[in-house]
Amino acid sequence: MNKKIIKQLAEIVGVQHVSDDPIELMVHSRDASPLFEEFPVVVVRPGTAQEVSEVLGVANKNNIRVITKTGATTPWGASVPRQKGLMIIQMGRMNRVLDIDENAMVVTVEAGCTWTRLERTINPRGWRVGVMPHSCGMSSGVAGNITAGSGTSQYSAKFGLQIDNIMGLEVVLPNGSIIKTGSGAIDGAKQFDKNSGTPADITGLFWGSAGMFGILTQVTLRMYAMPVVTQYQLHAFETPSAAQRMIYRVQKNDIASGLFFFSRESVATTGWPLPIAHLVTGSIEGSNQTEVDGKAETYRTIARDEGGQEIKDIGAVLGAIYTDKLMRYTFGNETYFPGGGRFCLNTAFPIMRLEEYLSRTAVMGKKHGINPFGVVFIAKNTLYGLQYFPYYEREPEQRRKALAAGAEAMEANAAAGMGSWCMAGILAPAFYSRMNKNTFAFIESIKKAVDPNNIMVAPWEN
Amino acid sequence: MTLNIKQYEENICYCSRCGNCYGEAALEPSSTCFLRDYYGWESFGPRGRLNMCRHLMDGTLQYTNELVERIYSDLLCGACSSFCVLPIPHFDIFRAMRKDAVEAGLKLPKEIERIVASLDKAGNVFGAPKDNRAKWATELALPDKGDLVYFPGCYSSYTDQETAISTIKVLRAAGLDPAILGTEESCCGNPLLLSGHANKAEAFIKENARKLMATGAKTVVASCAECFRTLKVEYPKIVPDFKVNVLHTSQLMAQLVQENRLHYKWPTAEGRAAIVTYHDPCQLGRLEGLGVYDQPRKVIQSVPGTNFIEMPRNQKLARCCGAGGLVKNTNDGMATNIAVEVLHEANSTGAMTFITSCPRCKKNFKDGVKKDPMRLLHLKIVDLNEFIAMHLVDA
Repeated sequence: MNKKIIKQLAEIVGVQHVSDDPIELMVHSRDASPLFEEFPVVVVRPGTAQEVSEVLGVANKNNIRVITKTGATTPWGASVPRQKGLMIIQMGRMNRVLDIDENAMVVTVEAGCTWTRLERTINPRGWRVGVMPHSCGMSSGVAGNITAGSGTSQYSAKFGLQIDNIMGLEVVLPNGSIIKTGSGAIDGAKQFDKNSGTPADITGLFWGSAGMFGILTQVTLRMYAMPVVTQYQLHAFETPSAAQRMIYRVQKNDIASGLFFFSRESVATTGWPLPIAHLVTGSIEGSNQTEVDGKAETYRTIARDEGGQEIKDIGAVLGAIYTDKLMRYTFGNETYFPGGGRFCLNTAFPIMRLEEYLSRTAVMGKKHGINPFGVVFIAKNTLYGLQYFPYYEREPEQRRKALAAGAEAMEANAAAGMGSWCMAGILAPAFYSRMNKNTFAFIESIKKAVDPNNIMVAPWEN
Repeated sequence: MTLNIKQYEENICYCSRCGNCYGEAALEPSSTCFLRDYYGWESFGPRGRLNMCRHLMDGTLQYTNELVERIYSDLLCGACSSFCVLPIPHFDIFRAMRKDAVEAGLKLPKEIERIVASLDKAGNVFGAPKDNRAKWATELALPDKGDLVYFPGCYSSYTDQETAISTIKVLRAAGLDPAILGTEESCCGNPLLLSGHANKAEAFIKENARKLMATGAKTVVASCAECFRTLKVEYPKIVPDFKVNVLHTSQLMAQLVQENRLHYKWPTAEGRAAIVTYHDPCQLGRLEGLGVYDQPRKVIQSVPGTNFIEMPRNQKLARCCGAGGLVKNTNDGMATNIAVEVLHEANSTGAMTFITSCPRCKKNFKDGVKKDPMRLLHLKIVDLNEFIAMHLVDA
């Protein structure tokens, strides 16, 4: 890296926050995915939105292309440099919880704040966020999760996707302008609502954008009160089709706060202390016991109607799934099996196509000699499947197979009309090649408009 | 050169780079691992360091002097392993990196060189005269043979003599008659293991083991957490005949409390109101799964009137005092800053007395108080043995 440029960057963020040390570049070349392709040329750690803006000024002036990182925890390579000559803007310094506005029921954090830190800060006050990402490790950063487009959690059945919970953003555009979306777009107004302040949903533009339209520096999220009463349910099904019918009816009747589906193969792989069957777990919440008991009875009736067998006396295990011990720290990490890596494919599809989705993934796994496993989240009317393709890190052939199986499954899913909900990372090019040409041209035109020098790496090219 | 980290190849490759090792699960405002917060850079944290190990094994990275700061900045506190769900022995791996650094002939931090030279010359980390090692015991007339031998270690022999004297007071108050090696005692060898000089450490360990066995000791008790871990875990590895029962003073005192052999003064009104808290030294609890957590707490709570309140992060999830991994020597500024942060957490308990079980931790915490006296001067930093001794009827 040109020393003059390093000096310019150091003048902006401080010399201790810029590095072109080969060792530092080396360790910034990976995330929690199998990918490892290129080293960046410089890593910069800004401390404010203004510094981000000035750093992008240097990038524009010198035609340096940019990707951002927060926790670097995606298992699909969202923050791995896959081109030569990239600058990484690492957002870890901007990690504060800025404002907990209990009146407006929103919390504002800096981009690099981790989900764990956010939750640990608001939980003691009786609040939680709607979508607390589960599988990406405790160090996952808020902005990275949003720009990567992930956004389901154990409570998505009730609270939807992350995008449904973002109430506003502060973004530094590629040209260095600092903008606010949502209600914060009005000068002097606070962030509390994403639909007021601008004529279109500007906030939504940045979700899943992989940072191509700008760098998030602040995020405002909706907060919800912690439930007073929670009850957990677990049912085993003989077939995925029975499970999908049950899920459909539970969602149609708006009963559960959280729903998961685990295929028989996944349960067997993870080694959980649960019966080997297709499992649906549910959490039912309410403000009093009577309300929760009523909902739970309806839930059980539906499950029974669809052939589900209720599994009782597993409160501790199931409770752990919905808190954090099993789901966030173990499920997420069960996928980090000893000696292995895993490549994650994310797919969105309607509830009633669960069986089709599972069979397609199984076919791809079998074809490539990989045993995929994962979890399906239920978010309102849609299912979001995380399918992990495991491999052993020291065995390149297995790694190649995992990637090939994932890529082929993605192609096949896209051909069947099932989209990805994490559009960054290695599979993005395959995904974008399936996109309607006019829609893709529209996205490209926005990219060109906000980033005339094309400094931000677009997901379809990384 | 065969890399020492290579013996952990499988474990190193377990790492999936999830970042849990930073300990974000713990309380805000900062992670349990100080290193990334302090240095800000990935290569100084456990995830980055494991990534470096992988490159070192693959030959895409070499042991060069550029790596030295990263290798020797680690606290070797093992907190990362508490958060990692995979079987990755971070402490062993990162210590093996230091061994590799020594064997590769890298230019080590000068403070590390100084410690090694002191140990070579005088058998203690301070380079102080060997004859002064037992000065603290001059008035105590301790025997040199017996069933129970007390091993004070370098810190309590030379700079933290209150701890050694208090330990003897407590043991005698319970009717025990501990012996010491006196000037025959040398450093336990842990600083050399931590610095990567395993061969030199072996000589110290063999010599101490021989002398301890010659006393006829059935039990060796250490008041220093580092000495305790080394005697307990490392000695039998190097001297298979070393079958002496090794206890930390907190373990022995817990037995004495159980047997009702410690008798305390009736607390004053002020004493009854005082809140105390306790810091878990890494080498007493977390490392090697030693798990000495309950005993010091039982001992503290045996003192009448004690209002014991836990720190927010404790036991397995406790933060390192900052002095671990010889960082107190290589980067005193960072070590003291860490102590200040831990003491600020202690402040949240309302404690006036801050107890620990390791003289190295105690020294670093005392330095922390000096660094932020406005907020910390009210905290009395004491070793567990001192705390008990000051409350004994017979002391």
